[in-house]
Amino acid sequence: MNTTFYKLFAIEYKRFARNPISILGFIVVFTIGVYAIFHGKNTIAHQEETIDTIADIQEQELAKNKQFFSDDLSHFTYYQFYYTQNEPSEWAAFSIGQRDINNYSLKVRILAVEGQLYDTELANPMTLLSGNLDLSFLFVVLIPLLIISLCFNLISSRA
Amino acid sequence: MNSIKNIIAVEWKNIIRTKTAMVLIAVFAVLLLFSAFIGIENKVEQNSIRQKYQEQVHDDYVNQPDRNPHRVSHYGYLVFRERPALSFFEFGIESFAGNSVFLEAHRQNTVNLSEAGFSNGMLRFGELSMALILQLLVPLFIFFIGYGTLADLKSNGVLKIMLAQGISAKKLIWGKTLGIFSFTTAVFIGAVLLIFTIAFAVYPEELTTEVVMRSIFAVGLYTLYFFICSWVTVVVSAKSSRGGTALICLIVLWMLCGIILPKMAQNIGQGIYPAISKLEFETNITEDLEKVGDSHNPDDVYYNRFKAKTLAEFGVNDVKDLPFNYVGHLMAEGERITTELYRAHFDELITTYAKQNSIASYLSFVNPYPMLRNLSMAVTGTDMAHYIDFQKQTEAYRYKQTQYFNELHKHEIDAEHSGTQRLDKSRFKERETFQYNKRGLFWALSNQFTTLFALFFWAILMMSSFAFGFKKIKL
Repeated sequence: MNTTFYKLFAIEYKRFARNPISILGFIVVFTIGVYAIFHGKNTIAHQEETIDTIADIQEQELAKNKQFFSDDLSHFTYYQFYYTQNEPSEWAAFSIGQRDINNYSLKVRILAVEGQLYDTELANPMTLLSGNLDLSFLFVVLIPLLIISLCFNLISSRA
Repeated sequence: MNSIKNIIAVEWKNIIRTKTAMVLIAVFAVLLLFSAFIGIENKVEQNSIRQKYQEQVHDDYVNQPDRNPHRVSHYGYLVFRERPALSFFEFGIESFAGNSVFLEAHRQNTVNLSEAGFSNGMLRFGELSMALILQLLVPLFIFFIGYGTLADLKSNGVLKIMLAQGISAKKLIWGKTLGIFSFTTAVFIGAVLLIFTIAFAVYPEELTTEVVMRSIFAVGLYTLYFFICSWVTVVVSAKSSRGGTALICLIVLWMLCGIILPKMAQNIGQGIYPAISKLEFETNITEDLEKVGDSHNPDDVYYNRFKAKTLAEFGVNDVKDLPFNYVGHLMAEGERITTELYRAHFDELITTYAKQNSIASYLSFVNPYPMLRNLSMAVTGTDMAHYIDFQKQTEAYRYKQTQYFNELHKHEIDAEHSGTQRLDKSRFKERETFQYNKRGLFWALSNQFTTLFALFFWAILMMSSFAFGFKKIKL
């Protein structure tokens, strides 16, 4: 255990762990990470909540349209919407990806087949622009930035 | 005064002597030219495509056969959103905003087909626009050329000699800030002015008074932003004992202010003021509509009362004896109610969005980046307010046109043939085309009141720092 490698490792580790800047960096990134988990979970939970209401809405609409147009098929098909749903995957809270831009529920009817497929979900365009602070953002952007800012002069500062 | 001039001259000389600074300028200049080219090409092409299809939609519309007016209002009309003149410079929310909206009776459709809907997640890492380079990369350049401006003088002892020779700390900081600021401005604002001149020389039809005013404001805005960045750089450099420390400090600041904080602000806003989904939005409108009444229900209280009121008004006992077609009259009433409800709910939704965005506006008081970004988007017409305004104008147009067809239905269609009688196609040519009423600079700025206030706050903060602060530099 007393190899050069081990000694270097131990010294480097001590320097790193005792450096208040690296501790601060880790605390900041960790806090953001906790928030990112919360944010991802929250966003997907809201989508799931909405998706859960779809069955009821569909049921109610069917009942209403049956009541008014049971003898008039053309009017029935004109007024009756069918709801689709795109369930989030198990890992969606980790990386929200494009789920905020693309619809997770689309209502379609027999009329105007093609155009209705491109209906957009209502979203705040400013939020779409800034993107989601989910855990994948932390891994893809923040942690590399942290590593770079802590290690950029590891060797060059000794010169 | 002379000594400040000397400091600025030395600063310029030092920057020009730094090889890396020159390389960075070359790289950024190429990037600026490239992004300007892409931006202009993209904007011009998009607008010509949109105009072409807008004309096609209108031709198809005008040349449709004789039709029942209600069929015409369901046949609908497609409006394409024109990209604002300065969107080649700042993309703003352009890529996340839809391109076209389908206008029809009874239904308010969303503006569909945004660039983002067809892209993958890469769009979120930012698009290379001229504005992005000026907003995020030029500050890095400023940090790079200025981090050592005072800290290095400290570590090699020159600062002590300078201060001993009687230069005041304030003069030194003022001169250094002006030096870095004037150099950056000369290079990058110069490049921007050059690109704008070329762009408007190639496309002179874009050059209206409004666009010139907006451009001037944008250039002024970015100049002030560079001053803020230079000021921050010199202040950090003055507080640091070594150049290296100043550089780390500035880069951490850049990451926090440019990447992490703006994103967090928007996400927190979304968390505090949750917005409803489209499904909830539509369900809420339907619920409110059912509270008023259902025109399909023969026993409906509201519509029976409406019918009784209409009959009483004309002193008749049956809808057949009315001097007009009751169906058209009823449809106009239905349209009025649904539109009123839709608009109320839409305004509510926009208020929620505005609240979500307000967190970033408040952040502008401590972080100049969201301040600049919000104002830059407002000035170039690529912010949310302009997009919402487009939606509201198309909705007003949709309502007016639908009611025009309901009027036709009411007065020119026989009650017996309500669903089948056709009107001569010449009647549909009377329809006006949709004209987006372009908004002015002051309208754009009036939507960013908080951010504008933050701009004044920053200006006052910097002025008072030179007036009252910087008594001495810690050695």
